[in-house]
Amino acid sequence: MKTALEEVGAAAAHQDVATLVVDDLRVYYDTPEGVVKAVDGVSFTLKQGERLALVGESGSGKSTLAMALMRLTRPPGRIASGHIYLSGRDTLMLNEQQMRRVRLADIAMVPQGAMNSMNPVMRVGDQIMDGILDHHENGNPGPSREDLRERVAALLGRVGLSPEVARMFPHELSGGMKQRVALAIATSLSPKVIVADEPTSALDVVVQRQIMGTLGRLQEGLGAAVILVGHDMGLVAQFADLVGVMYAGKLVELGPVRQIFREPLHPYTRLLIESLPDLEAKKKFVGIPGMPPTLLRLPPGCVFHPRCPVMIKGTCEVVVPEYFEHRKGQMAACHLYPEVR
Amino acid sequence: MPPLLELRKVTKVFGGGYFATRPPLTALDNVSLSIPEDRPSITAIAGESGSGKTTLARIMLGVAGPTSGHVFYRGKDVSRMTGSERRRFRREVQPIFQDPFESYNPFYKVDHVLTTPARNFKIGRNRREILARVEEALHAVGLQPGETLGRFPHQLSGGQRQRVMVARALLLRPRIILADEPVSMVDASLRATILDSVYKLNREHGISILYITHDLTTAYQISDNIVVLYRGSVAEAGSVEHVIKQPKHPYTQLLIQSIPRPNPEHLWGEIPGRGDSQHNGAAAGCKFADRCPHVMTICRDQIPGLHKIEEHRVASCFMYRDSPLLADDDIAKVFAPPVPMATPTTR
Amino acid sequence: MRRNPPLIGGLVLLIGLLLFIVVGQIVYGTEGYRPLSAPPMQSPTYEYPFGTDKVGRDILAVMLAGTPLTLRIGLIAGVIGLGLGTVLAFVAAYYGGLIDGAIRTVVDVGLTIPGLLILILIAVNVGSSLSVDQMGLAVAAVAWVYPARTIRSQVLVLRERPYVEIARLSGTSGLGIIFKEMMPNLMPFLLANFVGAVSSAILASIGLEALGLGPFDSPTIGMTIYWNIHSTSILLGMWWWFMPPIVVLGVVFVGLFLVASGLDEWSNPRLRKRT
Repeated sequence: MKTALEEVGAAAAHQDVATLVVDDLRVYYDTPEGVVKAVDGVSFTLKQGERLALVGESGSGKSTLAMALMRLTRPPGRIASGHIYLSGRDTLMLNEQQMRRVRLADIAMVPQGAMNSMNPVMRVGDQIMDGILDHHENGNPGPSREDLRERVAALLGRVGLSPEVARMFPHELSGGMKQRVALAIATSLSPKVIVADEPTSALDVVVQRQIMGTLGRLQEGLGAAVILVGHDMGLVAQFADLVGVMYAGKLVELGPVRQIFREPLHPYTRLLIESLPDLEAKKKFVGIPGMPPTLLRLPPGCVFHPRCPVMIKGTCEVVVPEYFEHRKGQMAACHLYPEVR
Repeated sequence: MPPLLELRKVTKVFGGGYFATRPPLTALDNVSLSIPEDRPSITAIAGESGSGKTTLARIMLGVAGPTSGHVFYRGKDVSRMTGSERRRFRREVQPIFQDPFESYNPFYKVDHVLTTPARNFKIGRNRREILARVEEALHAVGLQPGETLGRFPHQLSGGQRQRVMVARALLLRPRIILADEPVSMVDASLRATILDSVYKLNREHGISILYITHDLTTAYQISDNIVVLYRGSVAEAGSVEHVIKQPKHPYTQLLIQSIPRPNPEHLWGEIPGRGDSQHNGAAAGCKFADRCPHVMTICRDQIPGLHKIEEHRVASCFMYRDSPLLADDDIAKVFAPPVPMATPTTR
Repeated sequence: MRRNPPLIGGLVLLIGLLLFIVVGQIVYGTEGYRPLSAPPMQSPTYEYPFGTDKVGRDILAVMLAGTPLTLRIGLIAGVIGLGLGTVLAFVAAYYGGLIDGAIRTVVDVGLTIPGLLILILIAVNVGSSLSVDQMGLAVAAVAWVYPARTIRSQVLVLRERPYVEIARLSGTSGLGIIFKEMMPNLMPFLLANFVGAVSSAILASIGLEALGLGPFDSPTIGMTIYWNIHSTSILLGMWWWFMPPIVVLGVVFVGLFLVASGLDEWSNPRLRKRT
């Protein structure tokens, strides 16, 4: 029986054909020094087939958010409040057994360093089969060995690997190949949402491009949505449709990629883009002065105000800015923009 | 005047030998490079994993020795130096490593990493002098001694730790600094300050910098010249404006095209050539042949030499075989002089 | 510190035992450990709280006199064994090459030979029975092998750390690196190994003594166990004679184990605190 909130979520989801709706999600860590608000009220909507990039620096909360979406938050972390509607169903309301069935089948993750987290003594094909078999445990006779082998070969083919790779061990593969296997595992049950946390950080630039191409093709083939978590704005520009900028646990801006790069609303976004080195011309080294705040004692008002070059005295250090749509499709939390109601 | 540091036909092979189970790996293949005494500049050594750039750095630091070829410092063969010559080499060639956390001994405060070399190389006559120099170096990289000294490594941010490392390098007044991926593990917004300090080390203090990286974008921003390595050999080298803006070697072209530009209007196109190549060190001919979109028959049979295409560029590719070969292979001959700082940077 | 219950628990046990011995020696006295000090085969009375054994030893005096002796054997063997093992481990791991090969071979061979066997050979060949200190030295000769191996592995790991390389490039000598850069980081690990070495040494010495190869005139715990076996005290139902050494041994081993366990946790704090 659904709760009222779940009904609302389901209705909303159906209307927008939204695959994923995150509503005011908060993930806190209980440490001996106090409560760390790693994710503090993040909301966004992801439609079918959309590519969202979540960017931020260390301490922004993006990896914590990715883990929370999979409900893999480990103590001392906990999901304090909020909702995650996956195809209309609030996954935070599910028990662990139900969630296990949702993981991989509906939402899958390629975690950071996936290529180094594979079981070194298991053949690659067996590791892919592992996930598939695990989701067949309930009563129904599982697929036959032959079926499984064919399926694995098909999955490997989809990520650009030959079927022989199934018999190899992880250490026999190159970095790029291992990451493709991670992609194959993540998409083995055709999920609706793929969460990729820094999928190419350890890879060379040429291989990186190929992997992103593979990810894109996979995603289009499945009609799935992708959440790319990272800090490389170049990758974001090349791959994403939507960009969400995170800072100190909050989503400070969200919008279509072209608009974000052309006319960023939030000062942090603007500084971030300005500080990017490019290959057009040599320029002075411009960074963002100051340091990201410690999440134990966030600054009052707007979390970015100590480093903000256009801070409005009397407002920014006192009042937390509202997060809403300033321009069509572009959301930001900043006092620079008058309230558009 | 002999060059400050000179690598002559340096080759480094790992493995092999009688008891080996795997074929030997040639990390560096006949590389010659010199750093002049009188013209301190910033040279980027760029390459991906397996290119040999780390091996090259280690050989230049004197931490590893070449399998064949020679390394000369101030005209003396490094493997045959006397004790005092070695100490001078040790002091005048200093590193900045990639990992701002692992570079610190967690048992000690960050002062340790500054005072240890200061004492060993006798930077000052007594403790007060050493402290004064340490504070001076910290100021030069934009850090406050009061907020930095006396802290443990985990109490500083990655950016601060890396800046302390730059201060350490400056403290010893070296002639050459080898910066191995100094900003790859630092947040994007903090990179600029570190790169700026490194840049100033060269322009204001006259220290030659070797910037080792896989990130061609920052290499372009900070360097005067660049050497692109592919599987142990030099693919292309020269002034950074030429090599990056108009790459001639197919590998360099592939690299530049694969860089994700932070501009959504300017998207990746199709990739010329193939991706991962199979590692077979024994193949004859140009190492890039199996991935090259312009491969010719000659490429598979012979190894291309370094052809001097322009005054400030060489490439090892048979497409340019009509250009003359570089005499004595010293890549530094095609390096462009550094452009002095246009305006004093204000921070 | 408060968050380390094993360490606290172990220290409480060991310090408690030491207090018992110190206070006991002052208050009760230990002359009664010699045979014929008291009427034999007495179950515990007010005068003899632990009773007496078959030849008239006052068992409480035996425990008060003998436990420190056993602990001393453990300490001698532990200190010398660990010291030797540490030095060899560092030298082998840091300098590598032939030195490492030689030390490693000796260690690997040494590990396959049962220590007790070597101890028995030593004891038998010394001729007259071993004194307490000689026991300590004998056990030390065997105790250095295992620490040498485990410490060597740790040093090999540390040697590759970037900060060691930086120290080298900062002009620090080989010995300087061993003592100033690596050893401080290994302190908790070395301490845990030390406690383990002491514990094994005590066990080994008790093994020798129980076999009858120990110092006959000393009231060490092992010798007490030997006399227990020799006089079939269990069959005679003399529980006041065989229980005290067992209980004391239990306290010592559990205490040492908890301390080693707590130290082990302390030496890997980073593995636990990373979130």
